[in-house]
Amino acid sequence: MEKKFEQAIAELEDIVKQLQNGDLTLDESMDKFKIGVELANHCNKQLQEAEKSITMLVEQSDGTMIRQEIDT
Amino acid sequence: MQTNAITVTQLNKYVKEKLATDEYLQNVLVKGELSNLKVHYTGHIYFTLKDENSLLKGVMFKAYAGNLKFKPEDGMSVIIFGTVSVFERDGIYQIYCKDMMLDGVGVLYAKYEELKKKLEAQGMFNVSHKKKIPTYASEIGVITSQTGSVIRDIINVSLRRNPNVHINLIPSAVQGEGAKEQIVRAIKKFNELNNVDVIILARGGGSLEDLWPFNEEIVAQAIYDSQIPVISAVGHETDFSISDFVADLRAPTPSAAAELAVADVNETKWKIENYKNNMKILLTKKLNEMKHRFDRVKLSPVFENPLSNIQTKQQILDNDIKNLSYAIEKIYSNNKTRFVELTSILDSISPLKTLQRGYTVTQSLEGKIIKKSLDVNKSDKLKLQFVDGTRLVEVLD
Repeated sequence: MEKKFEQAIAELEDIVKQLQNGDLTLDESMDKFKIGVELANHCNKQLQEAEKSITMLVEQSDGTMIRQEIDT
Repeated sequence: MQTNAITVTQLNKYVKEKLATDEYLQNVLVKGELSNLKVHYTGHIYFTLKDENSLLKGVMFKAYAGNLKFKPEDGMSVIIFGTVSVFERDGIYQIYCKDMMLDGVGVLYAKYEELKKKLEAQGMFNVSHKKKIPTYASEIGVITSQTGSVIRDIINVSLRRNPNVHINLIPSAVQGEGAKEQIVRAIKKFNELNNVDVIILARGGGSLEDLWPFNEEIVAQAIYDSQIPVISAVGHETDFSISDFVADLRAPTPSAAAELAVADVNETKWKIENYKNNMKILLTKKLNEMKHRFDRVKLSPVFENPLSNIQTKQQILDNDIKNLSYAIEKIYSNNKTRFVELTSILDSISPLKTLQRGYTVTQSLEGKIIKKSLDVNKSDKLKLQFVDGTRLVEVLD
């Protein structure tokens, strides 16, 4: 399962904050930067994957719900 | 003509008696809107009941007013039960109200106020209970009518902001019989499935009666109990429903709800780009900081001129040596002066000076100085020391 967007961007924000604080060592900064860029790219990729899905949940007689696409 | 005239009082009394004989006017139900309402200090209530075309004066005596379950106010639609009669002094007829109840919207409005007060007292509107709406929800739950513009608006706005978002609709009636139960079921279903990040509960504009399901206590309770954040978007901007107060967030319209639930993708992209730039700037800053630190160390005198320390010490040493030799020289020269002085003193007291004046020093051959003549015998050989040398002599006598 891919990392959820919300979590990824929260981690990215945290890294920016840590870098801003400036009390990381150079090595740590480089590592964080690398992870940060990966997170940013990951987020961007997720944003570009437009897959548009609009579904309606329709209840069946046995109480289960099935997904049904809605035309837009 | 004159003889047939009656007084005003008599006439008013007559009309009053006439009305009193009319069965229908004794117990009449009349509906209208309250206006000019005044509560007299005696506790009697005076008002005018009106509709679009007519006015009717009314009074409700304290004995009856005390039984009212609501506080009558101007603008309320009410149904009045009472007797129509004449107020002789003013020559007007009015309704003597025995009971009053809220009519239609008025009833609903009072119920709304009552429930709102009750739920507020129970803490159901407390800000502390409100859940945060996720900033980047990707699964949006919607509860509204399957047809109509509301779901269209939500889909349009959501997809315009982020084409990647998923919209999950659980269709529900949003007015009339059974609507409240369907809404409650839908909220519970989303919580059961736990497949959405946020729920939008929406309905377009309508009358208070139309919006009524959103003012039902069971709907309020379901929203309160939902583990998934709920955005309530009911009616127009000016409509407030109970669900708006209980929900984690109120949106003025369904479209606004979609805007609140779905982050704009371009804004988000811009934000991420910004974060990336910030990180680059911060890392570059860090690198420069390190470089400067390195430069500072590199430029420190220890590295710049490693001999400088030795040179300094050398200089101090040289100086010391110089001072030392100077001191010695000084001692030497002082002593030399003293030597010359002493020599001259010595010279002045030297026996040689005496010898120069013509004296001689008599010595035995062994060099012992002889001071008395008695120390010498005949034929002794002696040394005579002259100023310019020594001669041997013999004693003759």
